[in-house]
Amino acid sequence: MNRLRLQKSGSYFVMMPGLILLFLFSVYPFLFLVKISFQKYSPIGTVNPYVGFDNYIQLFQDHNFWNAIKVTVIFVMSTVSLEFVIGLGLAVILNQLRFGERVIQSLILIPIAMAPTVVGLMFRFMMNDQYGVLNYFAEMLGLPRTAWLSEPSLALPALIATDVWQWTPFMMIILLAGLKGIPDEPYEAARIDGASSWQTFRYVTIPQLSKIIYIALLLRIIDAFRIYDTVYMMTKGGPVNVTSTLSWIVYDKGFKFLEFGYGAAICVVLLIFVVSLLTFLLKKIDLFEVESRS
Amino acid sequence: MSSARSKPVHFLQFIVIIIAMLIFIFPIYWMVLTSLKNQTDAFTAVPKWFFSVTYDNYKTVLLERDFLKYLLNSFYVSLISTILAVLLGSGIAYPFARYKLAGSKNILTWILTLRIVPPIVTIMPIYLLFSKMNLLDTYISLIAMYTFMNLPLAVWLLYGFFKEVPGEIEESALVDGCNRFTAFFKVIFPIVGPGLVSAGLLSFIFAWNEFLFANVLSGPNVRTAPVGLNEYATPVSVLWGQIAAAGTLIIMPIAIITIALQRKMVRGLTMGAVKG
Repeated sequence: MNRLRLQKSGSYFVMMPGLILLFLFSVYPFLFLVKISFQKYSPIGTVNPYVGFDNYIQLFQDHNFWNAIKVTVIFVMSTVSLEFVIGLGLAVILNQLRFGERVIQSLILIPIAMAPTVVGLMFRFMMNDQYGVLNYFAEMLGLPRTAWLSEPSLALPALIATDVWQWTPFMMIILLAGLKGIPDEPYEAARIDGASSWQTFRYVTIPQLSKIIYIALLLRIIDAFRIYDTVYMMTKGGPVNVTSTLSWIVYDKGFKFLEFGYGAAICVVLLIFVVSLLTFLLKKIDLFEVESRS
Repeated sequence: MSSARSKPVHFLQFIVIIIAMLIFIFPIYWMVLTSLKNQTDAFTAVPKWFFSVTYDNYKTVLLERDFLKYLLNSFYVSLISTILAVLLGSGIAYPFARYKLAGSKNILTWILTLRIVPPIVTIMPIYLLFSKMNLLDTYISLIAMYTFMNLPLAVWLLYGFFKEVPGEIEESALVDGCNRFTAFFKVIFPIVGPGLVSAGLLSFIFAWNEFLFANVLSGPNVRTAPVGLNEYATPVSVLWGQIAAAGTLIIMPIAIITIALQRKMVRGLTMGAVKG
């Protein structure tokens, strides 16, 4: 027993390197961010005067900021819901077909593992109006050749389509794993009770799957919020700001206009918003229970 | 259940899956195809499905440009940061899973929120920090950053795996004369091996694909492949053939390990919530 206690205190030593790294890289940037958000801070400037709440006041009057919120929210909501609906549909079908699952799973994992930079550039190539293969397909369907990425009304949908292409497989694979984990008994009970296939789906499958659906949606929302790589590769925020997401304007303000102070103010607001929203969503599930159950 | 379904429904489902798979695979296929075409074949309004294969794009990218160096940089940075993330992650996850430590739930939840924070918010402070320490364009800066970014996932995944190791196994190893460290490596390690692979795989893929920090922190010395890829897409001319070749080279190793380790990947993707 004594020996065990000794080991227990020793465990703090093995934890320390990791915890220190996590602490330093999260707390220092946060404090620094809050500090410079009250400054007119430039990475090349020698004096960085304190300006009080000026950056925040500017922020709330900046239509680019509100636009970025709008674009990000539209992006997150449309991608995640499309990916969920399509992914669930495909997972249900695949679960019933029980055909070539291994092959399909291994092929469909490739988009998920691909660098978003590569995906972005390839879709930009395929969406080109003159030699893009997607425009060739569109023409076969009787649509005119269009430069989707430079068309203000189509650039965001094109970006959404790209994300849906890359991440629907993620939803599909997770939900398929969830479907396979549902025991047979509730289905038999539903069959004996004479439930239709829609009723079975609605009252057996969905409730049994709810926890995994929740986790899958949460993980996708977290990642969709960060959208940056594909914006950089495909549109650089344009045309006329229709694809400038929050991540994009922070990068743009910081590293193009060197307005670090202002960029920091955006980050602080973004951080408060994202962390409060997601901790609220996280509270809804007991993660520790999920861990021990699986 | 499927026996109750009629044949036409079955056939329809089959068609839907085939079409979906074609859509998911086509862009990858198209990229590989483009990488094997010469300039004139790549830029046609009506796509060329049959053409004479050329490896010129790969030759240019690997031999005349620095892309091979970028790939090696990516590999080095990803490998070291993955090893560090798994090691440090085990260091945190193992004691939390084994002992009832004060505040363990709070610390684990805090670690999870780090996974939630959008990385863009740390980019300016991190850039200034590394620039003050003269660490811009060094391996250290990228390795430190990626280790930090991969740690939360590694901790959570490994926590789940360590929880599955029955305490008795370890106790009996201790009784048999092992100390904590030999018990860890002889008894626990083989059991959680798949978990380590899972965490390592996800960490590696993440670091290999990362662009935001690589773009800001790396210069000509340690430039990684995704940043190097961007060099071919200048505002003046976009060298699609070379981009396709470079893109294929970036995804090839990842595609191979993903297919080889697909079960590990599924569990990793959900941070351990779903078993593959």
